[in-house]
Amino acid sequence: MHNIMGIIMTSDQNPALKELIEHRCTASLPLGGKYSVIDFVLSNMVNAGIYDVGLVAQYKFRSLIHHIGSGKEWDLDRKNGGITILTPYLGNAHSGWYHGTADALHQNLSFLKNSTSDYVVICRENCIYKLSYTKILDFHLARNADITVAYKQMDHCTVQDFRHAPFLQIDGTHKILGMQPKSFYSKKANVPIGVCLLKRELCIQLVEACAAPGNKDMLEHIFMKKIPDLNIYAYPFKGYWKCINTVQSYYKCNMDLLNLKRQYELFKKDGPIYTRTDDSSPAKYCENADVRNSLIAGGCHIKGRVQNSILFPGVTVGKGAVVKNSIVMHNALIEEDVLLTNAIVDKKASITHRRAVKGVMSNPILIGSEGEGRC
Amino acid sequence: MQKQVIALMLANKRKNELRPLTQNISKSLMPYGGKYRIIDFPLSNCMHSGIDTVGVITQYPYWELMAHIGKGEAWDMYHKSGGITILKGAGPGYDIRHTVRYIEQFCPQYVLILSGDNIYKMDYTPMLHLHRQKNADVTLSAVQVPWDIASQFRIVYADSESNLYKIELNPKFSENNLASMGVYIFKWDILKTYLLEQPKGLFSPYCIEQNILYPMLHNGQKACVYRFKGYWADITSIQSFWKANMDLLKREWALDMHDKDWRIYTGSSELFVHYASPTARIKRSIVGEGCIIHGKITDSILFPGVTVEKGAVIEDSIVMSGCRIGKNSVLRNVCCAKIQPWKSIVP
Repeated sequence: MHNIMGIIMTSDQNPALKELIEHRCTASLPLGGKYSVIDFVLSNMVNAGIYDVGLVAQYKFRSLIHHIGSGKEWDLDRKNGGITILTPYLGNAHSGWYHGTADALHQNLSFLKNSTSDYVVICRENCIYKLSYTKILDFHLARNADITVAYKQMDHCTVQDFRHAPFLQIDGTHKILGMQPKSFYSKKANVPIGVCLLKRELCIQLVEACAAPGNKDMLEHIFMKKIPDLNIYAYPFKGYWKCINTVQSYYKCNMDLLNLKRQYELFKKDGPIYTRTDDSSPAKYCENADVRNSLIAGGCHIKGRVQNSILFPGVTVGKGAVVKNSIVMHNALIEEDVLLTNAIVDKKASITHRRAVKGVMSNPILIGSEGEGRC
Repeated sequence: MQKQVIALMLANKRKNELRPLTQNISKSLMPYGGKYRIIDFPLSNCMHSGIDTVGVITQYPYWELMAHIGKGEAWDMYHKSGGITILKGAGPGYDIRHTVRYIEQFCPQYVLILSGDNIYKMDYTPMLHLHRQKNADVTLSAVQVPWDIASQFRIVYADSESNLYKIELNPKFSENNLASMGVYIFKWDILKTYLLEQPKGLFSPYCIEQNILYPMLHNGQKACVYRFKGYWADITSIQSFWKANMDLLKREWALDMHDKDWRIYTGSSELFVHYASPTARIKRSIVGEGCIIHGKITDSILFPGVTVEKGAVIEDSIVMSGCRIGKNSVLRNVCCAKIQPWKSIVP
């Protein structure tokens, strides 16, 4: 049994997520009826027996810290290890704002050095998937690799959707040969899913040796530059994977959960997804409720029609209201006779009496708590 | 560590009438309302009333109770002093002096004794106020029950000054419908002397009444009655279990579970939210987390993790955790639970 520690890198301010991250970071964006985006990576870690986790955060992390709390929901309130939130701070000459993931690791080298784990797995927070990291470790050991990067072969992808990561060139033995140039566009591309595994000692060495202002991204500027010297392999991931980096991908990912097979894959197979409990009472359906193909969380009070939608805890749908193809976050109020189509309604927003709000599927309308649509 | 008031909760009742449902658990652990266990109500009441030290007395194989309560964090009772402690209430090696010793470490002025198997939302502070104001030795809480079932309860009589003057157990013809709720506040020093006089007595609701309350009244100690106004349900049979659950649908004004100021807390589950498929038809029902619904559901309560397959019809029924309702099956007025071996009970 090898000991693994985890590092979770949270993304920077992503303008493509628009108002969804106006008051929060991507990590604490609500998803799937009761979860936050971060829950998936964090639960993957805990389900793989990783109980020493560092969470690197620097943008609007108040909501994230509130969500994590002591880490007890993930069994991460521990004497040894547990969860440590690594935010930037001012101290000596090299401290301060993180300039990319490599710099974040460089500033927190002591965190890596203090651990006694053999391996470290470095993950991005904004990816939704279910993967036991021990499988990557088995792959890593079997191939005697120095670094293993997990990827998924995508059929249709645009550079625009995956600005965060390079596409990989891979040979028949899954060895990484190099990066595909960024301007490259093809039907098929190997997209890294934001998981890298390597020996902790090696990680410390690489970070110390490569610390330079230009080397921002851990994967692109440090690992990929070591291709001639090290055995870098790519682990093929076959399951469901979605990166939350645009409003469209956020909407699509939620809608993808309206599928029993995906629900099974993400929430039942290989352990549950843990999250902060909400303590709401079970959902209540009233006389005129008509709910089809939808996910309904606790505390919802449904008097109207709901179709192909996702309702978070505490949502009220008034009499005669119709909610279609929409995502309605915590404690939002949909009053009587409202028509809501292709919309994302933020927490505590209320849509007043008889209003009709209509977006299009490819570009869902966002409704903030001020009550007006902005998109 | 001194506490002004601590609570003792009696979670050791097991009614024969509820037999199949309480095969492995005490009455307090019976499921309620699509998510909860009955014990969540008095525990959450304590939490909202500012009582942070509760001794839960049990006697049945109690790993399920301990698993449900855990460290008590669901009720904010996980702290260095006090919190929730499981105490033994009967059986070999049981001695009331252990319970006394447990209470003594907090040097409380008052001890609140609760029954762990009633469904109600109650703030205990006004009752404590009354107890202090009247300088009573014991105060018991009572609620008005429908006249036709008054004979099932312990009926109390109080004068206009709230002084208790008579208690009747299961009277055939009662002149009053004020029933004791099994909630008492005692002055600790007085309760202690009565407890130590009966070292062999079981710590059960019956013992509290027979060995403590009656002798106290007989000796002329001051007893008061606090009138509770609100919803209160006692589970004595499958029928009353049924009715109390259905009250959430049929008399929703009586017990508002969506009230955010007086939430009922429970041990958390790691289930996904529930999914209503394109063929689902759900009306006038309560559906718990993790359910997958393809069928038709009306006037029913579904507990977490229930799967209802295509074409199944569930009407006026209670379906407990983890049940699977197969294709095209029809359930009407059924309470079904996953008990080893599988059993279903028709009320």
